[in-house]
Amino acid sequence: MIDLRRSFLISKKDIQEIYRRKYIIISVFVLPVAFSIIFPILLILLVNSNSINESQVIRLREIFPELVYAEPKKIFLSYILESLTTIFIILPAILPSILASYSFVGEKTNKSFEPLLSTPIKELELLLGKYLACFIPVIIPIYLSFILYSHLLNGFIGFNPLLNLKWILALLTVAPLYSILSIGFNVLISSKVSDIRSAQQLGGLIVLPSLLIFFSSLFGLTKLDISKILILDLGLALAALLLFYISSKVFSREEILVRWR
Amino acid sequence: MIEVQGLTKWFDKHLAVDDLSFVVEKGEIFGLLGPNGAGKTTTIRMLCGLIKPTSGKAYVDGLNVVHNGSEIRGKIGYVPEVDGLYDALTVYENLEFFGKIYGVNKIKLRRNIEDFLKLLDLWDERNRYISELSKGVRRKIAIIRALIHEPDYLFLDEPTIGLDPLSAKLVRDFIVNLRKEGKTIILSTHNLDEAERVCNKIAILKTNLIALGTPKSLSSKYFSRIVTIELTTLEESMVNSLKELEEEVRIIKIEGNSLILQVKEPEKVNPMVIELLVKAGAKILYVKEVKPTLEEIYLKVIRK
Repeated sequence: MIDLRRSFLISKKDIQEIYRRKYIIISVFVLPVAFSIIFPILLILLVNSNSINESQVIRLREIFPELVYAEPKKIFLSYILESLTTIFIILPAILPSILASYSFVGEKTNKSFEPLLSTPIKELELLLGKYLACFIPVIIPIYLSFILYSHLLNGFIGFNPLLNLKWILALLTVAPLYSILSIGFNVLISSKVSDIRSAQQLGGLIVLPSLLIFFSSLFGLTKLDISKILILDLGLALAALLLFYISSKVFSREEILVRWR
Repeated sequence: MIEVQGLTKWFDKHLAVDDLSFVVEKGEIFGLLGPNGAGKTTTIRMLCGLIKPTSGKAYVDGLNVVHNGSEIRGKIGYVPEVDGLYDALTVYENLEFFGKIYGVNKIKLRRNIEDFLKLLDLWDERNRYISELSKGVRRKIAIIRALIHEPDYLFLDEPTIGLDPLSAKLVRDFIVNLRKEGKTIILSTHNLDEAERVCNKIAILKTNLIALGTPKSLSSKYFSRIVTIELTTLEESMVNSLKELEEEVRIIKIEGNSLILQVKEPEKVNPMVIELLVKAGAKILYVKEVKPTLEEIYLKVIRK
């Protein structure tokens, strides 16, 4: 039987420990704030109406019928900002790798796993606790920044293009699943490397698939819709489960003490 | 009680511990001695249920280390060679976290933290971050961490390593006091002086078990017993008088007015030696037994 109380104790301890390191707080909060507030504001300020041609405006009016009477700059920015929302799929991949590297490699280099493993805690309780410690502090800033971002869009274009089933589903399913996948990937990386920087660099590779979604959406190559989100969810869930299973195998007492170097 | 029967551990093709067997009785301080790579830490880790033996059996408090790892870990406290405290947490937070993991209730936990910190004169340090503390203080905190749930068994891997002599003495005294409370302690150490002062049974490892016993039994097993007799004056007739006991006594050296003798059973033979010397006209100032140190025993056993 898994004692979730112990998992919560681990996550609470990790969060307490991680958040006493200023640069981690900065990393975890700066990225969401930059993408949800600073970047859109810069876009709004810098985009010039003259750079938008008539044919583009006609196409964009079809995408946003609500903006049929709006000025070209507003229509263009609405399109760009709506496309940029896929950033909320990239962030759940990036941020856990920052936390996981500290949570796993930090504990490994500090040699604090051994006393912890000599307690009655089960490996799965410990792993779950570590997952939670990387998940909770990531998903909360992402959700908060999404709310800020959608308010900003609402304020600028007069309606909220993100308040629909597609984006809510993406946020409630793709973001947490991608976070869990990223944590699992980072557990595996952490078992092989012995310094935090290497763990972050290698762990960052999990971002690549999300970048593919981001850029193809930005350049109009593909547009996320509900069916694509559901397929993405399925793929992410399967990959996350597989990585959780593999990471639970490398997360055994003997593996950690003897083979994790 | 801890029972170890034929415990063996292979790491791929490397034999770390070979066919180890011993028993640690309740309330004993059992010293594991041996050079680097002798298998001391691996043995402790197997007994704590952290790694599985390749073959053999071991029981801690009647529980099998392979099948009852979790229960064993609830009954033991373990201080690894590296303290592994959380630098970004305070002393109190570190101890509180481990107490909660062990499931110690809130009131008892608060009391234990306070009692142990006060006992080791660390109460004033409770709100300091671990990263701010000296190695000696960290070591003491690591020992308290292992005791926070009041375990019956304590495993200490090099508990005084890196400590200044004063801190090391404090820790040693603390360990001896724990034994008085009835705790069973397994202590791995390189420090032979420490083992001699603290342990009442010793195992010398070099992958396999090469010597086992109390410091006294090891001393008599590996060293014949030496007796020094100091006289007011020493004459040849006195030396010759000992020829009567040539099977039991061998004269190793004569130093001034002192005879240094190797005696088989001093308790039985010494009175006869004294009688013969007195008969030969000797006036005896002192008779004392020269005991080999644990270091001498260790070096002799290890070099075999």
